Amino acid sequence: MNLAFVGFFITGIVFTIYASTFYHIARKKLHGYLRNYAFSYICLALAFLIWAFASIYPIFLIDSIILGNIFLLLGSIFLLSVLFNSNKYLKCLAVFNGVVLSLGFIYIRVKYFAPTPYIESGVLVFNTQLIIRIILDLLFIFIWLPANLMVAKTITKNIKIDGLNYAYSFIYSVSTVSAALLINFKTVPMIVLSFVVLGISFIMLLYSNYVINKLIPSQK
Amino acid sequence: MTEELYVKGPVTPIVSETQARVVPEPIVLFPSAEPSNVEAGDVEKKVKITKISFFVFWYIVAACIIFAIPDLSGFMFWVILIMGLLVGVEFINQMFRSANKDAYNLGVKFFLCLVGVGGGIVIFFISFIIGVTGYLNAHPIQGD
Repeated sequence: MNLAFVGFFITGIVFTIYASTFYHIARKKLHGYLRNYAFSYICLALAFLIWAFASIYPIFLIDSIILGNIFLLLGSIFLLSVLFNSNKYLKCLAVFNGVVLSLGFIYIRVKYFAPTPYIESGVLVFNTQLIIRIILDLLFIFIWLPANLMVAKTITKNIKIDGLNYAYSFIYSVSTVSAALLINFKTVPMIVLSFVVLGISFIMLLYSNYVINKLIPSQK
Repeated sequence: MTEELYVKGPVTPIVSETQARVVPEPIVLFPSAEPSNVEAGDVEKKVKITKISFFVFWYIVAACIIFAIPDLSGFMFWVILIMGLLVGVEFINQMFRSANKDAYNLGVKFFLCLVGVGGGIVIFFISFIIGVTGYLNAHPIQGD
């Protein structure tokens, strides 16, 4: 059995369900700009689904890593727009810089740090170079994590349960940590474990959407 | 002599000493979903989630710093593992404490229990991953 396909495919579907349910909540009950947050997770879902299919068609493996990185960067640009939404000027600047830096990253990724993934025991090992790993980790630490925490705060602002913000922040933080871990590891058991952690985190996130929907009154 | 009695629990109104009878609540084998859209207000304030996330956050940061040390000893591996276990169990404990009757009325009891169990497992797994990787970096297994 191709574990990589099963793992990436299920996680990709879970991301898609999470993003689409969040999109509907954002449209009906939250601020409109939070829809970009849902788009970022759709990008992440697409990256995972591409990796899933690449793991059963290994000829497509190297291209899939580049494509996955592009979707990851696109998702990060969406999150930048969420992070800097309060100031229109800053938002434009952040998105512009994001696009320029992303193009630069893709260029060096293709030109100097070409992906060298392989499949071992049915598990896709990214085998990412150190410098690329560091850049991707920084992306998670400085964009995905703060954006997730900000969204957690925005969502729970209207719910007066003491400490719910902390519960949400916790879920979002561990999701980001587990995604970063997944990219870092090169050994099969660690990749499988970080997949399990990511899966559990997203089960919590999926249910959190249901709770938000129930607790926040409709704004329309 | 007629005397009114008050019996704790789910009972029908007491009429007299001799007529007092307790009507048990029906046993529900498959309860429906938790109530939703309950009028909030005071009930919300009674559901208090202990703010331990920062503690957990700093634990993970500390573990990552230890993990970054190239020469992670066996002793530190066990420290990370046991700390992860303790923090995980404490997290489950705190979340289950928060999941009280008021949380049920608000419809968040199951959510809090889920976050407790899921969060506890995740904390332990992350510690395990960090500990094992740090240890193996320092003591690579000699292959062929």
